[in-house]
Amino acid sequence: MLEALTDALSLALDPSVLLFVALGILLGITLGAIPGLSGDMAIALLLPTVFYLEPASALGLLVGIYKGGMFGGSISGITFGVPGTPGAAATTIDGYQAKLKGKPNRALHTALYSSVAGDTSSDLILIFIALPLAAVALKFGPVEFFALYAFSLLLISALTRGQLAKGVAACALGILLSMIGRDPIGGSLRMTFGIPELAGGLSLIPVLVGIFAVSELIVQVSKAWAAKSRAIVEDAKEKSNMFSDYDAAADKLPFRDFLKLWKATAIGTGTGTLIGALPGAGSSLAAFISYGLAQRFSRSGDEFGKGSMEGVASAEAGNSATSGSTLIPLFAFGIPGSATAALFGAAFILMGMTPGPNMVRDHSDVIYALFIILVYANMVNLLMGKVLLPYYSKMSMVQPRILLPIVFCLAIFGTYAAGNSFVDVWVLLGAGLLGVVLRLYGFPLAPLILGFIVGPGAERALRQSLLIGGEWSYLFSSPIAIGFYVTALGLILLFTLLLRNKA
Amino acid sequence: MSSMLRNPLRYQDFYVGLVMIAIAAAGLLDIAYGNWRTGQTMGPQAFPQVAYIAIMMAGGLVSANTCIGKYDARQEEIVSVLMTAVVMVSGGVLLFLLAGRLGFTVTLALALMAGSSLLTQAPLRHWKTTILLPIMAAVIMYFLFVQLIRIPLPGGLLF
Amino acid sequence: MKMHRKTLVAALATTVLGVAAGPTMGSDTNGDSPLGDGPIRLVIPFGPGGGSDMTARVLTATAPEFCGPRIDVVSMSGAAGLEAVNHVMNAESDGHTLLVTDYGPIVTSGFVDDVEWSHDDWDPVMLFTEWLPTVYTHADHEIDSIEDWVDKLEAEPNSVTFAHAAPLGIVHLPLILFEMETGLENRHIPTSGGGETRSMVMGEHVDLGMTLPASIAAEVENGTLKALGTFADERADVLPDVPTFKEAGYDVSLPAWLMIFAKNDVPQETKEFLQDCFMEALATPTAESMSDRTNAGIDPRGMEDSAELYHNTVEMVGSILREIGEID
Repeated sequence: MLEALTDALSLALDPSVLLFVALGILLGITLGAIPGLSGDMAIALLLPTVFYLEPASALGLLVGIYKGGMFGGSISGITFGVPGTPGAAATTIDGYQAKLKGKPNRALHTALYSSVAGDTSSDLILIFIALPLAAVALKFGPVEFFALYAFSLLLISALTRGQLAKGVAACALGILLSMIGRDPIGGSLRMTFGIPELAGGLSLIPVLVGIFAVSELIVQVSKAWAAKSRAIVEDAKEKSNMFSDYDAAADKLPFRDFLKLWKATAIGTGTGTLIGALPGAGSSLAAFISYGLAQRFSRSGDEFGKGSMEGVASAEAGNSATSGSTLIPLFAFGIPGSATAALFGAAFILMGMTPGPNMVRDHSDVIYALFIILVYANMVNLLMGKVLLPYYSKMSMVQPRILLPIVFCLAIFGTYAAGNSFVDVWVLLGAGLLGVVLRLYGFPLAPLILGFIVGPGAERALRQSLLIGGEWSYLFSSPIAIGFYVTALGLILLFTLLLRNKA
Repeated sequence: MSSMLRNPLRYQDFYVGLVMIAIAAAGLLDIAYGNWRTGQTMGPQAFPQVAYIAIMMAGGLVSANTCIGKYDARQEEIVSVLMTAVVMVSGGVLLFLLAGRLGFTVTLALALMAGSSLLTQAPLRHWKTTILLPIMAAVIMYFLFVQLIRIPLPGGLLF
Repeated sequence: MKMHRKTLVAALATTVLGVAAGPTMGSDTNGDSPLGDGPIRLVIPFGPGGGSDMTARVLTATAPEFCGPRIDVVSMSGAAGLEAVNHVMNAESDGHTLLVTDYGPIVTSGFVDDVEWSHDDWDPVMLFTEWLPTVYTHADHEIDSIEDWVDKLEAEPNSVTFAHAAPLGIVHLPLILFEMETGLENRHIPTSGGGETRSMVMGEHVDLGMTLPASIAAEVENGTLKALGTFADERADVLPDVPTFKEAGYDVSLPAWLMIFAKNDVPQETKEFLQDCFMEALATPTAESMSDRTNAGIDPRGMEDSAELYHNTVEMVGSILREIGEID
């Protein structure tokens, strides 16, 4: 054990490995910040490097990309209101509001710190208590998953400002959009309107980037156009400088201010770690649930949606805390629980290791090295983030007339590159149009995405349960499921009572 | 009680609710009479049906709310934003189709120039940001997407 | 394990400048190639990281030396894989765009989906391997063998829950075939894929599941899962102790092959050239060791054998689908 550990240390702390980790993080942050492109795509792209590189270097590169990408998605979310990755959608809600209020740097730093905090805790859990958590994850069958998904629908109200009816409708619309394509149980086509390309359904990236990012871009372009025609843009103000005045010094986040967000960060970390360990649930769901729970338990829950740093911290910690735990089913049982885990599984296989419990036993040096890399890569991420963030904050202040066309083109080709799919591009633009209409008529967008993420999983789990159990009572056959329902009921009662008291 | 006297026909949300009800009704009719494979304990129509019903009830509530004075304010710039949306979405379609025919870098450079020129007052005077910068951005994106990521778009006529 | 500075710099360069820079250096070794300069794209109708992806990547690493141009694996999982198939169908017939797939997206989809091509529009270039669908269960489950399973179903029809990925896919059709052959009935539980099937089996939420041997070989060996039987004529190499259904007395065999396809209007000369250079590449020690490492079990066969197998599968899948009323 000790020998394996020293071997692993010398592998992991090799300067070349460090260099690859840093390179990966830089690539990850940059690609993650481009809407549509994500860490997953970059990992798939660089998978062949495992043929050329030493195992530790290759893993360092992939881990770096993954961690960088997780955080990178929030950068564009906060600075432009255009989430770069699905996981960053929840961070965008408050992050972008904070930027509009002139605090991009504060929001970015909150995101960075909470991302690193969530990620590190999740990695430590992967390293030290993977097996017990994996055993819990295996207990999640269709019945338990349905309860989890049903529970997460409670969050509609946390994600809605204004009329709850519109939030519910947006969520229902998201569920409907997710039902397009082949019915996963019976195999028949639904709502494809005779278009064969829709048989496979809509993918998450184009829908999410379209609804959130493209619609935001359209609204901003419309504003920029109006400003131009009203000749509000004064030439003198532009000077030769592309940057308008922005004083980064006035927008700092002292670390002790971040510490005040410990509760939101802890909620995000716990939720993210648990959801990440469940095969198939995903980081965007983790971020939304963290955000919803943090709002429920916050003293200033009213601030959520208006640029609350707690909102940023909980969502980002929830998103990043999936990163270590998503590997738990892979290490414990060889089950890839997410697209990222599948890619890491592929990397292990290409290196001649079979994912599963034997991997840790048979290749302890490489796996321990990976564990060490997972942890210190977070520190590298923190350092590089600290160095880069001032520039990103400044970039967010670049004049929209220059930036908007570039971001729009990046979103189109980024989405195309993520799945090499023409259909995805049409879906992206269609979703953008839909997003604009919904915004204009006062519908919140986050519940739509929640419905889109939860819909297929909930349907599959419910119908699987009914197929296995044969009757509805089977849904209450599991203590975990009952636990979810009771908690949900309790939360509803608690908050209706609280509301009544306030009123 | 004075709010009860409001005329709901004056408020946009009243119609938004009606549209929601109409859409949901169309969907439910489609499930009832369209080509759906039903009959199992829980068939493929169950979830969409529940979703449509939810939309219908929400629509009813939104309409009803306008009668008691609860409604979202009408956004002033609706028409201009919708126009922008239509222009940008068709521009996006055009851009993507042309990129595979005319050539990725050229199309992209042209699109970026057009975009920033449209949003800039006196674009020629700001040639650095309306002409030079787009070309640079297009070249960078060429390296990113074509050389590094290797998107499988056809090469196109030009570069 | 320390890396020399030179290799490090080279590796960094390959990484940063796109993995592009590497393989282009290997070109011009084949003077009489009917192929042009552009890269060969192996399009897979699945997401990255799966079995087809990794098998195709063996060619990326080994074949440029023999074929000439660089080889890219492009993953297009859109429209349930149909987008990949259509992309190859609409590409130029110069042999630079090829499809790497199992029979799902090409044979089954050709029957059940509204597509603009027919099965005869495709010619196999070569076959990588045959995957043998295998029924497995949790190590502690009462069902121990094919006989146990059949007995249980005969005693009480519909008493066994059976998880499988997407309906009518390569790990579902064999089950349908088995039921057609025996008249037995299971409760089919469709899942989102091999990973979900496996967590449902391991978590004991269902009785049985079906998968491909490579993904359970390690667990069967260490005793956390047990495999009941394989739907093939011969046993799987990685599961030598698991009987076939044929051995147990049921004539059901429906292996899932992985083949490279070209459109049929790609010149015969080009297809033969591709077949030869791919086969040559797969015979190299590098390719063999990669195949071993990834448990891919690559056992290449040429275009004639592949064509026969392809047409047999088309017929077989067609008759199953007609039998269960999916097509007329």
